[in-house]
Amino acid sequence: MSSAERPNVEELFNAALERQTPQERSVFLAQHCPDGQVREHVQALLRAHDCASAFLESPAVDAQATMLSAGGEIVGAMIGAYKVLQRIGEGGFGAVYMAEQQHPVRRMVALKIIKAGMDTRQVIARFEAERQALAMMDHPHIARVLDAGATESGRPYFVMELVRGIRITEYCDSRKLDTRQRLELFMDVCHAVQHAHQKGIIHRDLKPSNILVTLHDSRAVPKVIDFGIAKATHQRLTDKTLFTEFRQLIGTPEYMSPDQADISGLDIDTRTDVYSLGVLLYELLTGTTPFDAKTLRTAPYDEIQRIIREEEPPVPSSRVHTIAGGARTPASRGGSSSAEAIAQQRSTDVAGLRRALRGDLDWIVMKSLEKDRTRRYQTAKELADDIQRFLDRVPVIAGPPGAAYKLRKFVQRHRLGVLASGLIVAALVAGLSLATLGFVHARRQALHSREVSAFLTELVTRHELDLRQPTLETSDVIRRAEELFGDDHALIGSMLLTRASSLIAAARNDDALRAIEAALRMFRSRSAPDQPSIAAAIAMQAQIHQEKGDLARAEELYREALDMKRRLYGERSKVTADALGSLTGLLLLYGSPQDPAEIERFWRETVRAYEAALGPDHPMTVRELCSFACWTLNNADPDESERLLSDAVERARRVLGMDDLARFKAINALAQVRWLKQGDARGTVPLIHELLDMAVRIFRQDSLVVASIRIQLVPLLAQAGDLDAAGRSLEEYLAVRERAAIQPNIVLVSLESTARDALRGWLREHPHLEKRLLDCMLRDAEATIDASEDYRDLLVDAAEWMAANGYKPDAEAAFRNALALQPADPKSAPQKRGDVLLALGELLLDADRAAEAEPLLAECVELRRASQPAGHWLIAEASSALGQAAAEQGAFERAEPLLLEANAVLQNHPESPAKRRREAVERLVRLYERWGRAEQAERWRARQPASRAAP
Amino acid sequence: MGDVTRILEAVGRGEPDAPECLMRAVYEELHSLAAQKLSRERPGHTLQATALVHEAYLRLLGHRNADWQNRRHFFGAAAEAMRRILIERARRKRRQRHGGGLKQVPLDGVDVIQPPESTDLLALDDALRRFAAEDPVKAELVKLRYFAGVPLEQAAEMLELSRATAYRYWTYAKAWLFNEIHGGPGAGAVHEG
Repeated sequence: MSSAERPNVEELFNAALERQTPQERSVFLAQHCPDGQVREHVQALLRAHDCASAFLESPAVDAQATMLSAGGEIVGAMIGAYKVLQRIGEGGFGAVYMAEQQHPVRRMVALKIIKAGMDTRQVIARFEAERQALAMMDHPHIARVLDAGATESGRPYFVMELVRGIRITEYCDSRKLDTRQRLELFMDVCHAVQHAHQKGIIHRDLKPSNILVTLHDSRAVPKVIDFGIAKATHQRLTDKTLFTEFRQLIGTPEYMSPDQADISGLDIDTRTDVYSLGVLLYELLTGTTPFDAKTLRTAPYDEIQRIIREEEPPVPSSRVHTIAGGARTPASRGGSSSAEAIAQQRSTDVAGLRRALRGDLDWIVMKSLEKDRTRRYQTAKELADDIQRFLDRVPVIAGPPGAAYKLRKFVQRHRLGVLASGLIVAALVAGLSLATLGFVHARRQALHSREVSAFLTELVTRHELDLRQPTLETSDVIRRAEELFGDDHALIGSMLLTRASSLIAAARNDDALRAIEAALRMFRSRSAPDQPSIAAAIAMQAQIHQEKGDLARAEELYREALDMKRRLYGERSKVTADALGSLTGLLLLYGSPQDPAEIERFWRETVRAYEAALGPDHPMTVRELCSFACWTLNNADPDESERLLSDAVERARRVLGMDDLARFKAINALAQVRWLKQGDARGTVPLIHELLDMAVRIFRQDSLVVASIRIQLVPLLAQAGDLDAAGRSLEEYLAVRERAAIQPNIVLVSLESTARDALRGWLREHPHLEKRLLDCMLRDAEATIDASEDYRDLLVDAAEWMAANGYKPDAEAAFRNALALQPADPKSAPQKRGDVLLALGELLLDADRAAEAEPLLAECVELRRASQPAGHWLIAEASSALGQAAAEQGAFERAEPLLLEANAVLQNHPESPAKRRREAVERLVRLYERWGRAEQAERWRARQPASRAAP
Repeated sequence: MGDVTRILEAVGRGEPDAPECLMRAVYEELHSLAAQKLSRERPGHTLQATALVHEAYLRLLGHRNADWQNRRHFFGAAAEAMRRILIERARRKRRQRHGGGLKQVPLDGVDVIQPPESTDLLALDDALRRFAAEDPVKAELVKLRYFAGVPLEQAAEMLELSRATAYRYWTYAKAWLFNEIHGGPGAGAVHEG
């Protein structure tokens, strides 16, 4: 192609890019580009364009670097209207200087210069946008941000009121403030933040270094600094290539809310500050942040994200207990940070500190740290008010962790077991455990009649007997109750039960059991053996034993409670249905040795009881039916299971919403049973599409569940004959995996490999997609099965594919990984290692890297000599390649015998492939050419069977 | 500082040796700066090379000298210096038959963060050389962005391109280079012809 045509290629490329789809582009090119060669070139560029979205987008060296000069140049300089006097601090953002404003007024200010690499104009524009709001902030505990601009070298800076103070955490520790004093100081901070929120300003970066304490007339005054700066410097992080910048932008992941941990970071409101305040409170109280700072600072980005979004931190009181002597915490730099030291800094001892935190303060902190912001305090003021309530010794709003919290804990604990159970989509969510836990929770709600409980709470609050007080002893409760109610044993018993449920919430199971026994004694002092309160108390006992793991005792008690409830309420009551459900849930917990027939019997009975008590289309009935039907998938005859699931799905579609998990799981199970029974892809696909619709609503578009459904659709669609739709689903899946931080797991590896097998032929036409799929598989496999033979085989398979499809550097990396995993011990699997060595060696030869290839090939020859009979063509194949490596490095004498002998073997061995025979001759020809022995080269060339021309 | 200002003036006058002089001065500065930093920082600390580029800029040109012509020359030289440093490194690494993934590679006692993606630098460099022969402006754009970390907008200013044009050039350059490096048979038709 002549150079005159080049602009033509570029213009065609640009014009074609304006067409959206590959088809439109092809049509355009066919119309506008008659020259086939040019057209092919433009097509190749377009294909490259489609794969190159991330290519070159992050600079060869990290562009977001923060390296301000040592300060020499800036100190003394004028920046805008400010004379820089002295450097006073440095952080992830850049550096802070003390500076003197010259006009319109002379005053000292703090000048914060932001690191290079941000779009300065945008930073300043965002600051300007908020400037009016910032100017309206006027609060004794807020340091004002006065001005913003850019240095001559283009770095944004901010000018703030100069605060001479130390971090709030350091202040509290150095003054040994006790818990109450700390809380009072913290409430000042809450009020400052509330003030800003009312002006519409979110801080977004609250942390101890942004909350300084100064002294006014020996009174401690906290000042929040940097309002408005995080927003101005906040950049949208939508691209994967920006991951590396993330840590530098945020700087302190310990204080980042789950809302912020989302990569887009778009959906932020004032409740993100409430979360950060919760972290600060946690740290002020316990001397450490909820998540280990070191872990967060060293973890890869997606791990940080996972920790912040999913992990539940220990409650403060238990954290105090677990702080080991050596653990370093941000709050106590330089000092010892054992639990004793932390307690001393709070003018108390460890036991005292734990007592002070347990209960209300635990709950207040945990409510601020809720993952779901709708469960947090909705404002900073609400948080401050609840602390005030605690200080005033009135009941706080925050309560013990709710069901959602426990559910998350449960799913976390059982994630592996859940995955291993083999249920796919549902398993990835929570599996059966979700339903089971739901029962338990519902039961707990039903246990104590709400009216009694409310009445009692009201009563005892008025009499200053807070049953939730952790220090309260059961005997105190009885004594106070007797004072209040005389010998009304029923009331005293109910009160003890209320007390017991507080104790359960506080995980004090043994104390709770004692309280229940005391309550039972009260109830049983009356003559009637069957009483609702007795049944409720027994069920509570059962529940505690279940939590303690004594399942046999729990079963006994559940059966006793069930029988009593049957006698008291009859078969057609919700109470009885609930009791049946509890028993079924317990039987499920026993796991496999339990007789499925018995579970089935109880579960059917439970469903019937709900149908009788609430009606067949009541949501609770339908959910129970869904759970049961799902269970039968693995535990009953497929025909019966399908019948039950069809019934459940039909009712669920009518009664339950599109975002209802029970409906989701029932449809999933129905799809599976149909697939298992008939292998009918066409019939299953619509169900999977319905699941996909629901999953997008229930989870996120970029969630593991949605992704796993998309990848499961691939083989189904392929089998149903719609290869293009299968390909689209694969592409959507890969797009999600590439943009979202989804934890790899082993199920995904097998789904990806199933998808690849199902689409093998189609993928040959779409190598770029296959490459992306392989990359994804390798990443997932590395994260899950990295030590296994399977991973090594996958690496080799992928490497061979990549080598054959032009992804040479990737192929090389994969081969090398495979080699590193394969022990060099020749006895283990010499054949496989030999194959990899040869493939990698030849790849390197191809790339003119003979010196690197040689030792690999030499090892391969050695391995094959040791494992193959002498004169086998497999040895010759390797030594021929070794000969080429020698020849290319000019070691002709060494190369010649290797190549000659290899050729002789290959030409005469009956099994040697034709390609290898031809290649052996070619190598000889090239050897002699390089050696300058044209005659010999010519002789060998003549022996080559006429075939292809030189490349 | 005076030296570099003089060299920049020479570059501005179009003296033939001046660009290479500038590049060497920047290269030297980058290296000495790195060594100096390293002696002050605790062991294991990683210097970020683009930060070094910016600092070198401040040291060599000060705050006053924000003339865009000089900026262009400077960042062009810095990109070239960084390219050489990285290529030397990649070559050395290739010779050492380094195993595992791309992580930190010590050289001259200085650690530089390697490219996060698995772009084969040597292959890229080869392709970029061929591209420069065909289309010097686009190649320059790639160098500024990829090796000196200059944002597209600023690179556009330096090369006196509109942003839209720069973006188009960038898109084309990426596709061209990607095709050159990863493309299948027949992809290299242009430069072989």
